[in-house]
Amino acid sequence: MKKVLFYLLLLVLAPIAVLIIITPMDSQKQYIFGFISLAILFLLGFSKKHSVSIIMMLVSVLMSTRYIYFRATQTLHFNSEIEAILGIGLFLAELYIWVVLLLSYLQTAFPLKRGIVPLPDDTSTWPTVDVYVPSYNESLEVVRDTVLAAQCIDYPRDKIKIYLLDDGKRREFAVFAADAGVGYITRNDNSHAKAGNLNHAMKLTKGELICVFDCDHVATRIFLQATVGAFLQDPKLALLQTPHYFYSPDPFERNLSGGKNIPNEGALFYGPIQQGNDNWNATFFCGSCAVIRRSALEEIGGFAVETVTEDAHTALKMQRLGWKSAFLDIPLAAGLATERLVLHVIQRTRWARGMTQIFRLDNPLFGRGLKWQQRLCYLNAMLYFQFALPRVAFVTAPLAYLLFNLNIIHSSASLIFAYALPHLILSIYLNSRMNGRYRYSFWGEIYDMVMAFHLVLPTAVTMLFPKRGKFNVTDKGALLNVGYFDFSVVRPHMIVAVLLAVAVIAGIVRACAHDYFGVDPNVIALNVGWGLYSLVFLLAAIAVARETRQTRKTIRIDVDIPVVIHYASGISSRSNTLDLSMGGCRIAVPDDRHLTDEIEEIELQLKSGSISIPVQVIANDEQAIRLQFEEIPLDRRRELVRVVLARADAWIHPPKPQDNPFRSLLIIIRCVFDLFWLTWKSRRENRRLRQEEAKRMESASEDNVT
Amino acid sequence: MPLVCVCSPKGGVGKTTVTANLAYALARAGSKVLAIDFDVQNALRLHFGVPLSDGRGYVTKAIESADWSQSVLTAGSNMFVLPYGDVTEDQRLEFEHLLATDSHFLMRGLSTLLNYPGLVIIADFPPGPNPALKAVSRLADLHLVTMLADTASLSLLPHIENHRLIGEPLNNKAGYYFVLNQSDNRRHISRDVTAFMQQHLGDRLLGVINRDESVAEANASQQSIFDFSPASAAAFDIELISKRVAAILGIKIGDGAVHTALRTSNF
Amino acid sequence: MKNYDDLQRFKDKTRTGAIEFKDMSAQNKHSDTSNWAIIKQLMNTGDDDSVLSHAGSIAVPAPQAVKADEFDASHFRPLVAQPISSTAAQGSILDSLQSALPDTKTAAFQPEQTQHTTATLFEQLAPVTAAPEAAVEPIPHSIPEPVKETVKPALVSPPQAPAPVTTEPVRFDKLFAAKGNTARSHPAKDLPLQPLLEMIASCR
Repeated sequence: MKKVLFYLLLLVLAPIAVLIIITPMDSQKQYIFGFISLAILFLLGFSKKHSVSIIMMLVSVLMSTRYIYFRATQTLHFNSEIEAILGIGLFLAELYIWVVLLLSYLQTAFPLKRGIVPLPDDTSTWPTVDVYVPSYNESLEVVRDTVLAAQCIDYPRDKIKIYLLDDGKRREFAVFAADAGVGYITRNDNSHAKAGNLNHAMKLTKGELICVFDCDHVATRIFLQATVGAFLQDPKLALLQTPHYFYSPDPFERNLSGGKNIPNEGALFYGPIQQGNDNWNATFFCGSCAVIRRSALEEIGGFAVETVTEDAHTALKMQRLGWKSAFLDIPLAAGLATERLVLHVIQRTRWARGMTQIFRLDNPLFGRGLKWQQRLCYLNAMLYFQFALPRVAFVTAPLAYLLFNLNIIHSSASLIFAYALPHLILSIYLNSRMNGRYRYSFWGEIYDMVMAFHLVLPTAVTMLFPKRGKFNVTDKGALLNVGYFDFSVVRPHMIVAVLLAVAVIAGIVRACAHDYFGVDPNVIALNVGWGLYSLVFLLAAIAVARETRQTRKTIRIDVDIPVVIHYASGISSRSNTLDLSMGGCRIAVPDDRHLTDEIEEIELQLKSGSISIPVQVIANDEQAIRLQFEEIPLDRRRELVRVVLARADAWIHPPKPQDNPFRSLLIIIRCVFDLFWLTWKSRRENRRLRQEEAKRMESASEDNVT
Repeated sequence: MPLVCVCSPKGGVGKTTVTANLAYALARAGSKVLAIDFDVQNALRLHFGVPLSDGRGYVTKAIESADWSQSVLTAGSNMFVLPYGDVTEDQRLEFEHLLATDSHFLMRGLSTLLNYPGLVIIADFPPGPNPALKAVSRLADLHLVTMLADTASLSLLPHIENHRLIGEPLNNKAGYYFVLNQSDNRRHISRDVTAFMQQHLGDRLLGVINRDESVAEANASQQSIFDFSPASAAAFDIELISKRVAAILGIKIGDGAVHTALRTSNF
Repeated sequence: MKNYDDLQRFKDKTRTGAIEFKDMSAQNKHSDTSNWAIIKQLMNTGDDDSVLSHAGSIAVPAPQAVKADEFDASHFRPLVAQPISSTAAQGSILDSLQSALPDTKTAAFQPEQTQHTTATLFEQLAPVTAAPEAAVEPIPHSIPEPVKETVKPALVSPPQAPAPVTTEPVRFDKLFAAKGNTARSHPAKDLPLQPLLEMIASCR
């Protein structure tokens, strides 16, 4: 009955929609039309209901389609070949944006808020689980805590087996595995990198479920009890994916001054996008922090090896055979974000290549086994990574007019502005409304801008020759001991930024003397505005290359855990931690005793048990004492991991405040400003230090002489 | 009114210290508390600042005068102590004889104090079976059995569970609970015994007190651990125990009850 | 806050208070509690009687009741050099030592008892005829040579037994240690029966 009503509604509304899309208007009418639709939306915006969001989404689709129709039908007239090429290029870029916009709306329209399926009380019915920790060239320091955290997972001992899959075949790893009491698997070759590694391990193990953790993804103790239940409830479930939460800052959070208070770059994907995918049964595997059913993997012949993003491809293959996938939006494990921008670029390039490969080799639009919604969701994921060329086109488009006087859009400035405005404003507004807690407005521009120039070639090449290209692994865990500006990563950005700056200035000059130059000031204004808009994000992207020094190896976590302080005199006092890491902690000062009495050990008190660690005082002030942990044997380190990293609630934080597009833009402008300000400041500081050093050397040599 | 007995099958487990500090904890929470010493060692008074030379106590007077409340000393706000006092051997024997034979002897001596509304009485006893414990146990609302976190204490667990401390069930009102003293997680035996006790006793283990030199230092200074070292780990644990004791006994601070001053003949 | 209850906080933050997650952290920790004799016995009260569960340590046998004539003073003989031979000559060496060293009477009293029970254990475990009497540590070092060192010293002075183990390269130690405990910690308790028998046999 509902379906009939739905189709009836569609039938009635369809002609209206078509009308809205194709009716041409002059600029004044279009302005009014746009203004009215925005006003309606603003009023609607007071309601927070989801159904209202859907209506707004439809309106946004209509407005954007109207814009594209206008562009397609009225603005594609060019005077020269070069203009035609550039103009059509720009149009294709906007067409791409339109397609992705539609697909994204579909993908995230109905996010599925899945809950934890509890396991039955009788543990003998719980399935057996194999935990794989694949590693290739990462240091043991990083992998060690991952394995220890896996051992802290609350699951019956006889039903869980942990394996360290070492493609590097390093002796210290073998010794560690024996010491810790986990399985150790190596193979003769390293074919197909991680996927090959996992497939080899599958042959030697027998668990009904397979759980994969990247070598730096430490699990919380509740990981399996929160995920395995779903597999018992639904026998067709092949995959349950959980978010990749990072407890160390990524380059954006570290290098941009405003980066710390915004949602992490991955929050959009591991939030609304995967939840949206989940609704259409299109959640895909992300390589780590997931549980997979062995029988499903065996049915597809193991983890996919044909592409460099073997994870997404594996999920696609399973779904083609009718298996289901799910996403649980609770951070149950945490990992290290890429430390430096260059590593981030390498990682994303691999993802882009892999997704493009899947697009070419196993296109979701074709082949059996998928529903149309699944196909479109996968398509969106792949199309997203083609953003490089369109983005470059957008950024460089104003240059065509401002520098070379090429008209690549055949329209008056005010008309195009009137059509584009509702399209732009609606999409920004809607994204802010639907995803505002997970991605602040305009930040997507920065993330994409950073990658755009680097992805142009790789995606184009892979699109044409999908079988080419090797798998390069992202380096995890290396320490950055000196701050520097990574010019090489942002060289193209800087070139384009300079060009844009020149173009903007040229444009302003021409506009001021427009009669002399014989140009339309409105067109110049439009292009200058567009240029400035792009310039802001280019500069923000360049700011990310200002690598700050990473001062410590271990990441500090703010948490308040009760501690007992054991002094050398035998006194034991009670206090609490202010922050905690695997290397040490900071505790609140209970009294003055630490000034005279040596602190030997501190005992962290968890409900499930306490762990006592020998410490050394590094610093203290009136509020707090900073302590460094001394070396402890492996089984004690495991208990430390239990407290620091494997706490069930360790990574669950309240979501960030709701987005406000204006405030978000201001933060970005502030970041750009800080790029210049802080660079200038540090230069001045360095100069001062150098002068001081020189003076000291002088006086020292003088002393030597005298 | 509530009467708590702190006892132990073994000596040297810290009963007296636990009694004193528990009394302080309850007083800090807002109750009027009286600590009674039934041990000829007469050590309880020292925790309350009574000078070593001060030999006053109730036992010498108890044999003649029926009301023991006359021998109570004040020890600060809301804190009272009834020391055993210096006695001769004959006096001690006579006292124990009366406790063992005269079933109303104890009742007569303590009735004023027991009937005082809102007064929490905590009593300290000698280790092992003794006539005072046997006599008082029948009146007690709650028993706290103190043990050390070592196997010497642990081996006496069956002793208590088989009612061998006084030859009958220890407590017939709110029951008996355990307090584990001087637990040190850094020491192997201590940790294992603590874990075993927690597992074996479950909720019957009312609390575990961290081994903390501050306790001994507080004793030496004749102060409460709370005044001596507020940050002390042992102080925290004792406070937690006092809260649980209060919950079991139904002591509610803040329900509007008015406590009038307790009149004592001394001070 | 007494301690940090992460499971409860997880349930509060994710609003899954209805789900009863199981805390299995005790699995991973050492079950060292069962290594201690006293704790083992407290855990086993109510279980079926087995010699091992009631025994304190298998290296040192549980004390048994003495014989009726154990303290019969008429058995005392003057010190005569006796050949060290069969188990039948119980207490002979120590008798002689007792008369020779009057000061150590009290010290010798204990070894006499344990000596007896050691012999009983030997009778039970290894039906050998020549089980020499052991010299026990409490006896001063001036004991003449005829008193051979046998199993008893090996049992009483534990560090000797695992000594050969420590000369091996460290990494093998680490590799095969079960949970980081070395044999050094509780040698007397952990000595399994077979090597014990072998040691007894080899020391003859």
